[in-house]
This record gives sequence, structure tokens and C-alpha cells, in this order.
Amino acid sequence: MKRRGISWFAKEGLLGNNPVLVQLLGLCSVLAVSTSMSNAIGMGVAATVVLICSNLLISLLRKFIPEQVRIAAYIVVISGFVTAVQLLIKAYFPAIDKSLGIFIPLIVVNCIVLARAEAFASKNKPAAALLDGLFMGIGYTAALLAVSFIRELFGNGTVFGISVFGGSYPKVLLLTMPAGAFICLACVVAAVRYFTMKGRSKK
Amino acid sequence: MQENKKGNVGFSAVSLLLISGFIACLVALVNSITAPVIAEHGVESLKENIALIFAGSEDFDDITGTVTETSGVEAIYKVKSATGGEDNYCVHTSTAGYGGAVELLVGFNCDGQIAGVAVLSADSETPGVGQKITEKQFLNGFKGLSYNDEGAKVDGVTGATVSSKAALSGVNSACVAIDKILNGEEEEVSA
Repeated sequence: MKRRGISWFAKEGLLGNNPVLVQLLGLCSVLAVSTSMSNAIGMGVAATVVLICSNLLISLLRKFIPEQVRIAAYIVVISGFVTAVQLLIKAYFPAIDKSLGIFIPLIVVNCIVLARAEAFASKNKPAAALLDGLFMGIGYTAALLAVSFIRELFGNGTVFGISVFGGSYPKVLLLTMPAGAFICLACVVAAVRYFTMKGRSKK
Repeated sequence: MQENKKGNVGFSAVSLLLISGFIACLVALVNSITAPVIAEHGVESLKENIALIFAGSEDFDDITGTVTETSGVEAIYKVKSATGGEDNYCVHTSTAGYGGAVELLVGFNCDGQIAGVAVLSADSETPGVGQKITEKQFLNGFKGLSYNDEGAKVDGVTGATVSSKAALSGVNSACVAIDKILNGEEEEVSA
């Protein structure tokens, strides 16, 4: 396996192979929690922590886990970390727990975590798996932030809960609703595709 | 080959068992650290909400078990009055809203008048529409009504009929529970 530096992982996670915008994984959680930017940060950090921990552990155990039961083993590892993260959030960040509610436990079935475990962590050394988890998590958070920025700014007139346009701003309620989430996410994906493709064709 | 396969199954099972055991230990460890903190938060947020309704009141007892279960009622608390009068009551209710459960804390004076309603959770209601039931304008409509007011009317929130009705049915179940506490339980007459 060829040696890869941090910048390779960063590029891969943020743009080239962004879990949300390019791999189109874990969209359910992106659509659901992107109503506000503080939710997006909370969800992004929680998912990143789970990704790092599960990637690291699965990579450490990659020679020990038998192939036939690997998916079961991954899910056990992932759900264990998700439960731990959920308990920590409940204990130390009750406000985030209140607004994210059911979506934290659902990280277990977030395909990003399982996909990185299967596609990367189970085939690579722990250090590489850790970096992959970190930057995939950051990429996920960045995509969430981009979508939630648009939805919160135009749907509610606020950024991180701070009013931007003043009280008389006519809120675009559609954007705060599920349908608006789909439209907004599609636009973000399209915009990112457009700019990455443009960059490639010039070369 | 056949034997090899058998051995593999055993090995798979054992290794899965070991991994599960390890993860279980990890979760148990985290749980033992966080459980007391989480329990504290629950009590604290309850205290805050009770103080929203009865300013200055801090002491309360859980008296849920003293009356038979009422549908929609999660818990009943007896709140010591801050001014030294008779005890007040708070009823924690949970009713079905538009996207999930709407949880309320309904405060009653000792004579059964509604002192205030606080929303504990309406997170699954539609933001900007159903979540308007958390606004004072709506909640204050309940104030001053009595548990036995028949036909009392409360203005709902425009466009949020389901969420308003959830809050209304929460307050109604709270009234049923308070009726049981203030007037004692009557045995239900079977028809």
C-alpha cells in the first residue's frame, strides 16, 4: 500500500470523496438535523467521534475479526461507541441532547460509519484508519454545516440562533421542512459537483 | 474442508463474543460515570420548570403512586408553596402531537386552578408552526381555568391544530389526575 500523507486524507474526506456530497451516504441524518447550525455541529462532532473510535478499533482488530461475522462485529463496535457518545452528550451537553434526541442513536445505522469500517478501516493500519475517520467526520460535518447554514439563514433568518435579517424578515418556511431539506441538499451537491468538475476539465 | 468450516464457526462465535464483551464493558464503564450526572440533570430541569410555574418553589415530592394511573399522565408532584400556603401540584403529561410526544408540566394551585403550563418537550413538532405551542401567548390561555371547568375554551395556534390539541389533551388528562387527588378516587361504575 502506498504511503499517504495527511493532506491526502484531508482532500479525500472534504472534497474528493466527501461522504455526503460525493458518496451520498448518511443523507437521512443530514436531512433531519440540518435545521439549525448548532444541531449540525452537535451531530457532526458526535458522528466524527464515533467514526474515529470505530475506525481505530476495527483497524486494530482487523486481523482478529473473522470474515464471516465481520459486519456483525463492526455493528457491535459502532453501536457500543454510539451508546457511549450518547451517554456522554446526555450527561455533559443536555441542550444538544434535547435538540438532537433520536438522531444520536441513529448514528449506528448511519452508512458512513459502516462504509468506512468495511471499505477502509478493515484494510488499513490503525494510524491511517484514524486519519480517515477524522477527515471523513470533518467532511460530514462540513456538508451538514453548509446545508444547515442555508436552511437556517433563509428558513429562520438566523445564523447559530442569532438574528441576521431583523424581525420583519419573511421566513422561507419551506426550507425548515423536510421537503426544503431535499431541495437544499440537492443544490449543495450540484454546486460542489459543478465546481469540482470545472476544476478538473481545466487541467 | 468440512471440519475446517466447523472450526471456523466456533472461532467466529468466540471472537464475536469477545468483541461484544469488550464493548459491553466499555459501555458499562461510561454508563457508571455518566448515570449520576444524567439523573441530576433530570431533577434540575424539573426544578427549573416547576420554578417557572410556581416562582420560588423548590421542594417537591413525587406522589404519582398515590392515585391510579391516568392515561397521558407521566408523573404527579406535590410542590411546597414558597409563601407557606397550602401545597400546589404539578402534573407531567405526555400526549401524542404531530411528530411525536408533547410533554407538558401543568401546575395547579391547591384549589385546582391552573397556575401555569410549561412545555417540557415539543421537539418533534414542526419548527415555526407546531412549536408555537411553546409560546407564552398560547400557554397563558390555560391560566386561571379550573380543573372542573366544563366547556372552557382555549384559543389554539393557527395552522397547528394537531399540536394545539395535543397540548389541550395533555392539560385535560392533568385535570383528571388532579380531580383524583383533590376529590379522592371514586370507584368506576360499570355500565
